[in-house]
Amino acid sequence: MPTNRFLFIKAIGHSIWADVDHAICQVFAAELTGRIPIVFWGMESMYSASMDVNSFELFFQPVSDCTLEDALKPEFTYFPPNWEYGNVLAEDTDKLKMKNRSLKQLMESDANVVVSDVYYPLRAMLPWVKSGHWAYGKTPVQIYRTLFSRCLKLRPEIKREIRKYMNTHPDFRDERPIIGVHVRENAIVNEVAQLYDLNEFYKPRIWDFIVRYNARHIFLITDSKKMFREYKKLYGKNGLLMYTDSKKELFRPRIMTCLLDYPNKRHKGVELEKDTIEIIKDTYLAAQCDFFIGNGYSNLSNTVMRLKDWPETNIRLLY
Amino acid sequence: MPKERFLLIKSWGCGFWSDVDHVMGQLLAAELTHRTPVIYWGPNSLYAKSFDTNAFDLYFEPVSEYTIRDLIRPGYKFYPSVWNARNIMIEDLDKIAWSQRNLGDMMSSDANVVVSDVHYFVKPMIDYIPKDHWAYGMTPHQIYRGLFDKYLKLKPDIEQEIQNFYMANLESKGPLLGVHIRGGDKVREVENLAKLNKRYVREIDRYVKTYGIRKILLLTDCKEIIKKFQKRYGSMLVFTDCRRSELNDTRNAAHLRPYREKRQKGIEVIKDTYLAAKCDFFIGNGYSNVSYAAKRLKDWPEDHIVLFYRDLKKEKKLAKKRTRKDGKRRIEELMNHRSEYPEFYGGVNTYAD
Repeated sequence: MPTNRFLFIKAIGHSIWADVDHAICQVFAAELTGRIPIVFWGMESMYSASMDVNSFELFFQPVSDCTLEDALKPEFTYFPPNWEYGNVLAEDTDKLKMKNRSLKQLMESDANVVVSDVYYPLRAMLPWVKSGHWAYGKTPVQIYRTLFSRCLKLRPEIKREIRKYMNTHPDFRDERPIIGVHVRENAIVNEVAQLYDLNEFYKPRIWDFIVRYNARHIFLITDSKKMFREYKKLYGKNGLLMYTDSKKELFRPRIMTCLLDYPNKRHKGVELEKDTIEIIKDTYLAAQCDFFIGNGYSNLSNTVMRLKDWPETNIRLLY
Repeated sequence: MPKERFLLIKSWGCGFWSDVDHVMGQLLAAELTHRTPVIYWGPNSLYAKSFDTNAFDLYFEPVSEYTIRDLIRPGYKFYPSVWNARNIMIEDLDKIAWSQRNLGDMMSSDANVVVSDVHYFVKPMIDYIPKDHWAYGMTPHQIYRGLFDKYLKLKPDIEQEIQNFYMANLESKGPLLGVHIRGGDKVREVENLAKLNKRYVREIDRYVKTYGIRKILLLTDCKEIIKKFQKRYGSMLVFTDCRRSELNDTRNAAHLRPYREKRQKGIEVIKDTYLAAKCDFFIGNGYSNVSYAAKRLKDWPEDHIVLFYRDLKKEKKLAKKRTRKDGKRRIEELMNHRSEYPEFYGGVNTYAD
């Protein structure tokens, strides 16, 4: 159905799965408002390859058939009103002032192109779901599941990478059950007037899964060399621990231009692509495991939960 | 193809006078290539107020009647080729790689819009100055002087603020000595900055003794330096009320931090610099754009201004040290790259089919 109503979904500039979460929520918003979604990760994304590349499409297939040229035309109207044809690819450094960016305004705008560059959780969109819509009466997790299955398609070469890991690690294929574990270095929780380290809750859970379900392996994902060493020491015997070659490094925030040294220290190019593919690979492999223990505050762990229909007993996100 | 020729001068994204230096060089380039200059300091400028405003226009009068919006025409041809009508407002984070940004190509481009977002001093442009141009036969400093006079016009309210401070604190209290000392994040850029800074006191004392200085206007980004000078020069010392950081604090320098009133950040540095140019004498840092700007804002008698540099012997020694360090860094990076990405070097290639 031809339409001139688009939802232009930009990156919010955080980690890959935070940006995917934003994209998925906005694809849902596009569906609710009868718009064609276009996800474009430009220079504001931490994964931007270069000026003229949509980095979302380095890793995932487009969420619609529309191209940038279809959606962005000089004669179109844009909302929020600070956007226009000439600046829509730039990053609005004032976006967190939220001017003209309330969800109601974005959902009810009649502009040709609504630009989405601030995050709204899927839960906030539920009031716009009408009875008769497939999402009516469903929980956010159920809606996420459908959206992830329907809209998030990996590029074939990344799928091949995942398959390759499974083919070259017969243990992963043949020796089940496997517990996927995602541990972050910084797991201090400080909400509800308490302060505690979430990482202390992992080991009893892992032990519980091992003894209760006779788990054969632990598949570890971590952003920390320290945690990696610790887990290797604890579970590294007899091939119990499995992991990929992904970088065990913390997420690196953007460096201001004036602090950049020559040569360009921006994480980009084939290195960025490879490192990001490794993160995606880890996430999808975790979703292939039989059990999963993750950090409830992490987008990666939440993505693992959304990638497949886990039996309730098999997944634990820690809070 | 349309015949219009523009030079879009974007913010380089560094210190205030570093960005003005970039603008000045490019204004000369625009003259030499017969292009209409359009200055646009977008949100990447450290002195930007908001996404919608051109930060240059917050402080100075525009240099032409065109704005960046006049250049957003799909029919225009752009150079470097990464640019087009849809993306010229973005900051290219890869500009530091200087790809397609060599001066010769930019000067000879026949595109409608040449986009300039990397810094060139005036010096390399001297080779492009024809005999009939006003800058022909001049030194880079003389050309900067000409460009500053021709193009740099302050906004009236800033000019008034400078005048008010001058009348209240400095007028008829001369002879005046302006002193600019850097601390803060400058230690990242200038090796042995502390050694350079040690030369100030002796030179100030010499000026005071020789010329009978009555007031010293101190320009600095450092709280400790203010305290030290207050102790030494007492009521002779004058300084403006602006945000300052700690000595050697490379991460929290005032110009890297957000201001509630964002325009104020630019006004503070402009005010200091223009006040320094109103002094009779000036002592500054030869590695700082603030000191350069003070030098370029008026024709100083030769004996009335001194900028400190290291001597050539030290410079060569430091250059050798820098080269050795850089060599080590390169080897280290290469080794790390080899171990982190073995598949690019014919090692374990998990990416092959």
